[in-house]
This record gives sequence, structure tokens and C-alpha cells, in this order.
Amino acid sequence: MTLLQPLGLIGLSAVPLLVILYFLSRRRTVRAVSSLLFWPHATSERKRTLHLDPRSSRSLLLQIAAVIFLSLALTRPVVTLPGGITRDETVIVMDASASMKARSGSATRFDRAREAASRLIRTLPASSSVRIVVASAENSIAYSGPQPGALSAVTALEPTDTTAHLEDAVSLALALLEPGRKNAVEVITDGAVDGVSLRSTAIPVHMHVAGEDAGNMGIVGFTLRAQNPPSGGTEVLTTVANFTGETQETTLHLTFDGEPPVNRPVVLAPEETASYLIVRDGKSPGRATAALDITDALAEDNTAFAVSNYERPLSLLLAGPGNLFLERILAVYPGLRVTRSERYEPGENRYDLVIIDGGEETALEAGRFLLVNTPLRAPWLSTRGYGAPRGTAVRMTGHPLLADVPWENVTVFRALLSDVSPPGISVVGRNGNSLFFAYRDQRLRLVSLPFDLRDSTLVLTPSFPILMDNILRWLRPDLTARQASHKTGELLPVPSTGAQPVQITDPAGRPVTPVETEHGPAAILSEHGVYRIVSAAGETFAAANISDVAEANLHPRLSVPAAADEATVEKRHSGVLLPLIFMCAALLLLGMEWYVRDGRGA
Amino acid sequence: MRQPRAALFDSAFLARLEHISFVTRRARKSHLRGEHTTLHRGASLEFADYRQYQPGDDFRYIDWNIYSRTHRLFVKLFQAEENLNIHILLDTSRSMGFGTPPKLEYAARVAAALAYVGVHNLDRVAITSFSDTLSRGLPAMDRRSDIVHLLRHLESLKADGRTDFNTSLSRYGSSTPRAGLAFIISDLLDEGGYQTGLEALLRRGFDIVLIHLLDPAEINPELTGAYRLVDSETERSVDLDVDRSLLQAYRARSGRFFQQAQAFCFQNGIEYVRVTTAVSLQTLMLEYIRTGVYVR
Repeated sequence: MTLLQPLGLIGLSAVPLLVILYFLSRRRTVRAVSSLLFWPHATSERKRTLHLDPRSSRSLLLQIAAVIFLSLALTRPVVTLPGGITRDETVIVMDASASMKARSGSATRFDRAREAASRLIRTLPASSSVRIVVASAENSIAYSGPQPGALSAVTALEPTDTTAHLEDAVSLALALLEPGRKNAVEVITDGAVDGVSLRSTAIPVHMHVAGEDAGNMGIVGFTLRAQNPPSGGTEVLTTVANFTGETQETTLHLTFDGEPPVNRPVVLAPEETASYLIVRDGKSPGRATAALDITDALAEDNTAFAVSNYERPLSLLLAGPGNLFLERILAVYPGLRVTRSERYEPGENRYDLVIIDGGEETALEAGRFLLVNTPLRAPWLSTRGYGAPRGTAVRMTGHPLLADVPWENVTVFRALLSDVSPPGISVVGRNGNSLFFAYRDQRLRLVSLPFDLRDSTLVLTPSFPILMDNILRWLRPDLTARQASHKTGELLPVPSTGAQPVQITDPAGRPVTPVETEHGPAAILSEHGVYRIVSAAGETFAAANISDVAEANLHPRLSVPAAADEATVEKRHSGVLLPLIFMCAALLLLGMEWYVRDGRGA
Repeated sequence: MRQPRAALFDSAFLARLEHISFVTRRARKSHLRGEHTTLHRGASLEFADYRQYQPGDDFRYIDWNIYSRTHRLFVKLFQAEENLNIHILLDTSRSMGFGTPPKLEYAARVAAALAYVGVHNLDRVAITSFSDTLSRGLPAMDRRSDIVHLLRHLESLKADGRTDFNTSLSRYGSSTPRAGLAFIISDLLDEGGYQTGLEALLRRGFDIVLIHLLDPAEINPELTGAYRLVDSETERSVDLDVDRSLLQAYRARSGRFFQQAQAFCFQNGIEYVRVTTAVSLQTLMLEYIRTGVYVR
């Protein structure tokens, strides 16, 4: 039962008041009568009435019960009753995040969630339609069909090692339903999620919390990084968090390619997170494993994996008269071998990436290019010379090129006025005035910033390196695959190797089918462990770790803000019925109290 | 402070009382000739019957005319008119001080009215108050001038003491040589009962009129809520939550008590008059008592 207006419980303060008044009323009025001859029980009444007169006690109890019911009515309680639900369509959102693997008694939280979902499905009419949305890194619809088949679908569900995007999953569920019908979204989660905010809709959303609260300690970060020359060593960074509620003293075991482990004592206070850095001599080409010597509710995050894939660095040509900002950034970018040139010769294809800074108008047919202040000749682009950009730039929010880049802080004073039309992509800018655009086809990928970096505040913003990283990764998605470790749920770009298929197997040895993304085919790293990728280029590995503080923290903390939670029309309806029942009960009790007090009930 | 009582009667009421007189059903031996008629044959002006002479009969009542005709001695019997002994027994226990007006005040006025009727008819009127004991009271009076003393005495009465109805009446019966018509004014609120006392008086030859005086609040108490009720006589207290059901139980018990009292009186030839202080004295005297068998 949920109380929509918990402040109504203030009414319960009337209970002690009633008790006080009751005992005050026990102070009797002294009245002389001619004789006690006719008063009933005259000889034995006094002791009995002094403390516990049954009638007045009944009256008090009835008054208290009436106040309690009245207070409950004021709290606007809502409850989901088992059985009797009339529904046309129900979408069940199952939280399949890593925290659902935590133990809850003799089972896991996901087992509890399955039980809750099964109970819920059984209460639905057989004629109703059920959809099951699995909330994980990639939300998916696991079942869509009549109610009877949903039970077996729920039984077949398994939790993942990823972080669930619960809010997106609810949005997906709401999108599947048609407003105006008897529909509802039932979200079954352990509540160990952060920042969920449900928007108001006409479709009711009911939250069900499955599993018990639990403490946990886990590795929330584990990565390798090659040190720059001349040291040439490997930095191993491990981050551990303690959500057990007690100070934990344990040992962190770090293993490199089967060598004897390096042990590191770990002492963490409750809610404390600490990072441990170990520098290894020489580059480690193999795998590294971190393990915490602890037994807690969630075993998966007590180990973490990393793989060092130091492949041939990408070759990059920086063509232009010289740009300090670009040179500095490219110098520290890992995995790049930068070559400088005064100008770009058309047809040059020896480089994995080419950055052209300034220069004459050019036409590009194949390759990966970043154009900075370089006119481009392309059928989807027209330019009108230099000028001051007019109006406020409009961003294409959500585009990976703009990830974590607050473009609204950027001002461009002078730019090559460019009008981008499809298939060109104007990432920032108004029609006919694009300040950041891109293009992609089978042979060509390019990104253009049509202004001199010195004519903007872009290079002065802290997000400039992030923007450059976004651009380089968009141009060369395989850069992502070179990370030592990934977070579960991330996409691992599948290397393009021509006609030969790429085989990817998950940590359990099961084959993984790549999915098509805007960056090309990619495998979803949904399991915690080391993935194996076999291609024509050879065998490589990718490590995926839960590595999420939100998943390591198993404490339920789902708080649905009142404005959003009240999005549920059904809750509001049931929020009328229950108070009405409680109000009627209170009135009935008051009537009984009057009846008893008046002596009729004696 | 005790409030001064109002004048007991007005003159109109007194005038009406003068038309009332008491009779008794039993034969009495009276020492004085009075205005009351008894079935006792004796010296009187009104011939009643003859009977054969018996030794010791007064020669003056031998009917010599009959003797001259029959040679047998017969004496004439006359219906004797003798004065009546009126006993007014007034309950002055603390419970009689209860009510509005206090029952004792009302009872005193009733007693005064009865005494006035008695004295006006040259009866011997004795007033005695009782609670747990008998008071000495006033000497019996038979002159109309004595009514002043009687009224003063009644005005001086105070409600005090516990009721011991049986003992008081038994003692009165045994200590009073001349039985007569006894008016007993009491609320009968005595846990010891009243039957023994009344029976004692009956055995002593009293005709009894029992005026059962109650306050309306004793018949229909108007209480609701939590009370500590204190008995005015015993000072014993009881805590009660007075509600409708308790009041119903009270009325049931008091109703049974009244019925038992009435049945007892009926069975023993006692005239029972239950009256509340809400009834006017005129109504009581001129309607309730006047319709009784001892009043004409």
C-alpha cells in the first residue's frame, strides 16, 4: 500500500489526545443521591469502573479505530489488489540489471522479480495482452502476446551484467500502449537505481520492488593504460566501493597473465570509494584480473577483467600550416602516430585518418577526414563564402559527435557559411548556416568544422578534447575496441575484415551475434568477463566489467517524485476508492461508538 | 444555610381541608367522646341494637319497657361517637432532604395538613418523626389552638440520620398505648426494608395510610455520563457511567420496588399512596387522600 499524502498520518496524533481525554473523563462528577438502592451493581461497580469500564473502553477503542481509519483516508492510500484487475494490455518492465543478480534470501532478486511478475500475470484476464520489456543496457521486448504465454516468457528471462536504463524502458513500455484504454505499465525492479524520473502520462505506471535490501562491496573500475615513452610501463587502476554499511578490511588480488597475484590490502569505510594504482614494468600484452577477497550479496562485481590490446597505432596525417591546438591534443591521444604535412595531396590514402586544417577547396571520395576551415566540394553541400553566423546554433542533440559537449558554450565569430543537405548531416547550425557537419558512405567518412578554430571559443572550452575524441572515434570506430576494459552493456565494434566472418564469443563461450549500429556492426557486451574475437586479423580479446557504482550499491533507493509518480491515473482512481472505504469505516465506527456510548449496545 | 420555608398553607386550602374528616375501620376504645363514629357500641345518642343483659352492664341502659312486656332483661346498645387517635409518622432521614423541593419540606406540609384535619375534627393528633431513631415529638393534641405549635414543630424538622424504618415503627407501635390511624410519610429508601415495621404497627391495631413520597428525579433520574454517586444516608459512593441502559435498569429496579411496596400494602390492608413532590399539596389532600377509605 502506498500513501500518496503521508502527511495525513498527522491525524494519528489525535489518538493520544483521545486517550488523555478518556482518562480525564474518568474523573467523575460527584453527585449526591438520596439512595443507591435502585442503582444497578451498586456494591461492586466501583472497582470495576475505576479503571476498565468495558463500555467506555469499547467506546475509546472505537474512537481510536475511527481516528486511525480517518487518518488513513486522509493519506490517500493506494494499493494494488491481487486479482480482479481489468486490463486490455499490460507491459511488464523487468529490471535485468546486474544488481538483480544479488542474493535475496535463498534466491536472487531476479528470481523474486520473476515470482512477482508471474503473480501479476496470473491476476490479469486471460483475454488481455501482455508485453514484457527487459530493461538492461539495451532495452528489448522479450514477449508480446496473450496473457497465458507470458508466464513461460517470464520464466525464461535472465538478468544481465549491465546497467538498466529503467527510465528508457518505461518510456518504451508507455510507447507500446495506447492511451485511453485500460492499460498499465508494471515495473518490477529491485529499486537499486538512480535518477529515475517518470513523466506524467495518462497510462498508469506501477512500481514493484522485488528482493531484500543488501550490502555489497565491489570493483567499480578496472583499467590498464600504457605509459608514454620513455617509461613504457603499464598503469593498472582499480577502483573499489564499499556499500556494506560497515568498514571492510579485505585484500585485492591483481593477476597478470597467470603470474603470481599482487596483493593489495583494502580498507574501506561505509559508502567509501577508493582507487588503487599499480605500475607494472613493461607493457603487458595479456589479460589482467582483479579480485576482491570477500563474500557478499553480489559476487559478479568482486572480480574485474582487463585486456591490453596494443595494436599498431593509427596513422594520422595533419595537413595544414600548423595548428597548436590540434597538435597538442593529437600528441597526447593514445594509439596515434601523427604525421605533419603542409598540405593534403588529393588521392593520398596511406593514412588511417587525415586532418586538413585550412587550404583550398577540395573534393574527397574515400577515406576518413576531419576538415577544419577547409572548403569542400560535394553535391550535398553549398558554401557562400565567409561571414558571421546568424542566430543561435541549433544542435542535433543525442548525436555521438556531440556526446558530453555543451555546444551552447561555444561562440563562432566567423565561419564558412555552409548549407548542408542530406545525406550530409548538420550536427550544429541552422539551415544554410552549418557550423559542424558530417558525412558518411561506404567509402568516405568526414567531419567538418567550417571555421578557423581561432575565430571561435571552441578551443577555449574544456570540452574541446572531448569533441576531438568524439570526432576521432566517429571516424575510426575501431579505436573503441582498443580499450583495455569496457563497461558491460557497451557496444564493441566488430572489425571489418572483408568477406571473412568475425566470430565473437561471450565469457561463457556462447557465440554473440553482432547488431547493426550507426557505427557499423557491433557486439553488445552484456556479460561480465572476457570476450573472444576471432577475425582474419587474428584473435583479440575484450574485457567487460559491471564497473558501475549504481549497480554495486544494492540498497533500494528508487524514489519516484510525486509529480512524476502521480502520472498514474489508475493510482489516482484507486486513491479515491480506498480513502472512501476508510472514510466509511470511520463513520461506521463512529456510529457504533455512539451506539455503545449511548448504552444501546450494552 | 437553610432557606426559610414558605407559608405552609393558604386560607382557602385550609377552608377546604375543614370539610375532610378521618374514619377508621376498626373498633376503638376511646376515653373521650368525640365526633368520630365507630362500630363500638357504647354511650351515644344514636340507638343501634339490643342484647341480653349480662352481669356488669350499666343498669341505665336496661330497657325497662321490654322487661315489662317480656320479663327479660335487655340492654340498649348505642352507636358510640368517640374521638380518633391520629398518628403522623414522618421520615426525617437524610434521604428526605433530597429533591427540589426537599421531600421533607413537602412531607412536613402534608403532615401539617393531616394534623389540621385531625385537630379540626377534635381528634387526638400525635406527630412523631423518625430516622434511625424515634424523636420525642410533640405531645398528642386535640385542640385547634395546638395547631400553631404543631406547625412550628414541623418547620423545625431537619433531614438527618439514616433510615431505620422497621426499628423505628416497631418501637413506635410498642410504645404507643393507643392505636389509631397512622399516616406514615416516608420515601421507604431503607435497605433494611419496611415490611417489618408496618407489620408491627398492624399487629398493634393501627390503621395505616402509607404516603410514599418521592422526588421526580428519583423516579426518572436525568443523569448522563460518568458520575460518582454518593448515598445521602450511608455516604457510600459508587462510580457509574450512566447511560441509557443503566437508566433503564434503574427504572426497572425502582418500578419493581414500587410494585412490591404497593402489593405488600394491599395484602395487609394498608392504604398506599405514592406521590412525588411535583404533585401539589391540594391535589394530594383533596384527591389522593380524600378518595381513600379512611377519609370522608
